[in-house]
Amino acid sequence: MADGANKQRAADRQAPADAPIWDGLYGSDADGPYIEGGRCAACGGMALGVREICPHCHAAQQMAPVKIGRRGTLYTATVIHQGPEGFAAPYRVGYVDVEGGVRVFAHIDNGSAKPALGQGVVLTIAKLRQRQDGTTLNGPLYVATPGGS
Amino acid sequence: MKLRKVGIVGVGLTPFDKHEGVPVERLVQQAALAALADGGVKLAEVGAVYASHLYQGEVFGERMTSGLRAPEMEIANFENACAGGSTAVRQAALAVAAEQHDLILVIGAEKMDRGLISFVSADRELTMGSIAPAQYALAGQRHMHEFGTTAEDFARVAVKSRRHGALNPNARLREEVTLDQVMASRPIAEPLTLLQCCRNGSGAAAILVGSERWCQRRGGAKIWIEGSGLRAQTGDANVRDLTNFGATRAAAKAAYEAAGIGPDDVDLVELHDAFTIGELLHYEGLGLCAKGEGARLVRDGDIALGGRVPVNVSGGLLCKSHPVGATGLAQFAELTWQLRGEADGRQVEGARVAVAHSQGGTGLEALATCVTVLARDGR
Ligand SMILES: [Zn+2]
Repeated sequence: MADGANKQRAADRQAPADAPIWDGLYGSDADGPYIEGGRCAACGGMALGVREICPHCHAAQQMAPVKIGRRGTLYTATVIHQGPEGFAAPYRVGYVDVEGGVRVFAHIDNGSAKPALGQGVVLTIAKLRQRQDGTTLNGPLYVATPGGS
Repeated sequence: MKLRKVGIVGVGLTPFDKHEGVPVERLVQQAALAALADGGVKLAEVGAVYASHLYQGEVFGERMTSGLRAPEMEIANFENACAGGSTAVRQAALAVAAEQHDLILVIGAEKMDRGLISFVSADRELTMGSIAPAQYALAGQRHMHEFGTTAEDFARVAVKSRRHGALNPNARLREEVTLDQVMASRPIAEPLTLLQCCRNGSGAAAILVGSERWCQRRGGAKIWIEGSGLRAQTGDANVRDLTNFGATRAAAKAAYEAAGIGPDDVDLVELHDAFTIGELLHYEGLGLCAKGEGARLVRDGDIALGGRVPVNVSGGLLCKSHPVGATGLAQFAELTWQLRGEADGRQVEGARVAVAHSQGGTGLEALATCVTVLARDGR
């Protein structure tokens, strides 16, 4: 986690106009956005992000990136009314369960595509934070699966 | 290793408040001298000082003691977030039980700015816009979804604790509130409203932990530390049941086993109610009721003064505020007064067995959880 925090601070210093809210959390390809997961070649265990040490079997350098989290199930969510600077309260955050037993913390739609707990959700990438220097930080926002599921 | 009996020889409290302009050293000295006076002990008779804090900087215990002209002694500092105070008491009890010391002064204090609690180290969720109350709100929402608990059930915890706080001269908030007032207060993270969140505070508490000989020398009712458990829930890769409070369960099991009791034997509890949702879920984690039934205890009044097992008769963190390093120790002070029968105006009649529970860390109960069983002589 310290590594991630250092990377995050480095990213803050460079401050491009549009930046990810947390480095290495998500990506996008022809099929749309995904969450960056890691799968261990030694034990098959999965984690959020690629870890140097597998949290399941402790094998080193065995995790390879795998795209996860395009869809999931909303485990729980809350609406925050008093957030940190740059977040437009009220906004909704929660945990989404995705493949491989991985749980993703993300923003959750609080408007017309607002999912209920236990409902299917689809990943989008949205502006989550507007910093005072004008930069926008983007991150995962899950919306209800169109047509329900 | 054969362990010997350990008890609480004295307690002292600097009631929590803003204490603006008062140095933390003064807050600590007031509590420490009160505990020494309560135990009839001089600092020179103490073998060690164990100190608990989160934000007060290096060698805190050494600095706090230096103005009291003590001889050379063992001093150690304990940081376990909100569970720092109870962790320090546990370590002191183990050191006395293992005959490393006969008498240890445990001190805990904090000077904090106003507002809600914040954490020292950033993590991904906080960076993405989460806040400490949201971590409890997420567990509360899932509890509502699975067990039919309502927003009012959580709010009723605040009504109950504020009624208790009104009886406690050491509490900072001493006005009762209605269910409507709690529900109508400013929303923080749904279903939590402002009146369901503890506030930052400043203050200090001190507990003298000693051998049987020191307890006997003091006289009066003897209060024993019968068992404790300290557990953390780690393993960030695992999807877990957020309504389960596994670390509370595991710490309680260890403490109950060490004391040779079960949750049905407990007469009163001081537990970590930084947010009302935490309190209700800890009823279940401590085994006061079955999983999913926490709301029933609130609706039936089991956990109110006069009920089956009163919880947070002091008013809890909700009424006292939450100077992190002192919070756990203040619970021991309250329970000691209760078990001695000295809790004027809020006494739990016939209290013989008490449980202290505190919990700290970033991420919902990801980290330290400490449960301690105290009992009065002749239980
Ligand atoms: Zn592995």
